[in-house]
Amino acid sequence: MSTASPSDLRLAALCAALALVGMALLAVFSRNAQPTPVDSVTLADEGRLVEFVGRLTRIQNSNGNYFLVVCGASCSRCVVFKSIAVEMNRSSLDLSLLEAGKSVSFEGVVREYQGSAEIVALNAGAIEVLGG
Amino acid sequence: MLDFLEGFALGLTGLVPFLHTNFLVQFAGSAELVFVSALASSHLVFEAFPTVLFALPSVGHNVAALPGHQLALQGRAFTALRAMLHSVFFGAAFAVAFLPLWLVAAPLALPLAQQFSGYALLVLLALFYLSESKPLTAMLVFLLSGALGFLVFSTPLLAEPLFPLLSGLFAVPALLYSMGSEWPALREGEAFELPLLLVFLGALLGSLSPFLPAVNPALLASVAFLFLESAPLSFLCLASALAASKNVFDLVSSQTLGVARSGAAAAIAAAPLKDPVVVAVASFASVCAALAVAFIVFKPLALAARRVPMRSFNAFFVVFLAIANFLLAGWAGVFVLAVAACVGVLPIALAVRRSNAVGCLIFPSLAHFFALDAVLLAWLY
Repeated sequence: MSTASPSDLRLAALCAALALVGMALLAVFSRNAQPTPVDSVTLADEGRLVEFVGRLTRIQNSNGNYFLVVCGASCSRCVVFKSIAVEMNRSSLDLSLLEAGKSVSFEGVVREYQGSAEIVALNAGAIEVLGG
Repeated sequence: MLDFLEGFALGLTGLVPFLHTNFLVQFAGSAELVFVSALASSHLVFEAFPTVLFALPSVGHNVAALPGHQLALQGRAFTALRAMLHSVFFGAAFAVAFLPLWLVAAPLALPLAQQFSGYALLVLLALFYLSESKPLTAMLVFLLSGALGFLVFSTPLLAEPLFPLLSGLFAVPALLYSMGSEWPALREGEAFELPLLLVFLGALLGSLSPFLPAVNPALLASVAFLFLESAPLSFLCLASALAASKNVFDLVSSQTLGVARSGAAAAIAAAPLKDPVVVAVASFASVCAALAVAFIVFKPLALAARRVPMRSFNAFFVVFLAIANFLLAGWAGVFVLAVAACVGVLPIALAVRRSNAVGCLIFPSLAHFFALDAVLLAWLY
């Protein structure tokens, strides 16, 4: 690789600055995104931040990752990955104590997994227990 | 037979950049196995053309856009296309040959692969940076592209972040930097020997696709690109074989394991009658038929592209990328494209390897493996 010239370095500094500002703006956009209440999720919702309310019909712990099935007007698979689950257990909700039958609100981003849509928790405040 | 011909013919749309297979399988109706397998396979073959000629990343040939276009700018478009087309054939052939053994061995190897893939990735990265002449500058590019990749893959910004991200990081800088150039003289009769060992390795890596959801083929190709940037032809062979093999294994695993790792596989995963043999045969036959057509048209297509002056040609595709990303993802897509382009210019301006920009795929995967994603997201939200 050759050495960068002063004009290349100036261009690099400008691009790095623009990239950082752009990433900061992207972070702000994503932080301010409001979840959309939904009755069901499909692959057409992929990438959307959604809020799904329903009754927890199943919760399964697999190597620290939690897989939930929440049923409202339809049933949706919800996922809390290990790292978020640890944070959740520490700060807001002990998932090991959460039982099927509770009414919950689950907030997360819709992702595709094995051809189906599922809601993936983004932070420790993703699940709110609304009642028994 | 009619299903096969229809699928194969629709696959010709691989020549049109950004016309995604997932979009096309909507026309499958009852998701006929043969139609979808033929469509996905011929589409993969024809995607090679925009990748090499216009530096436009596709689903199958993602990171390959950069070395492919680099070769085109050296007057070696024919060689690049021939290398990709040969590798697709052998990648698919190896995949079909692997199938019986794969069905037995892959589930046994899966736990090991899942447990150690993150550490293996770290070791490969360490080796890469030990060989880098400016490791700190290179790491800066890696981290910036990694941060951008993490942002777009982990947050609800875009449904399909891969296109704006890779187009911005690789295609836009490549098009902008070659805008002042002229088309070089074409090297028509360049001798080319297929690196069969790399093609075999690519096919082997492609076979992992159904089993490693966090390690997608774009990531595997990215890791290979770290080490093969200086040998673009070798990288193209490995990446094309990987894409062809992944296509076969994705389709077959939708029939045997119920795992769907691509839009096409998802479309046939729910089909009432499962038949992995029909899927494998239709896929391989479609690859062969598509290659037969591709070998006839690749020279006229490459020559037609050269009739347009490079300045107009590149300006057109930069605008085209912006419009395509707007249509796919709205203003957010255009914004990510622009930010990614700023990061993509860095390795060129700072004279480090452009493969450092694959941090956009490797960093999010490492963050997930080592459970750093929650920490980063908690900080972000």
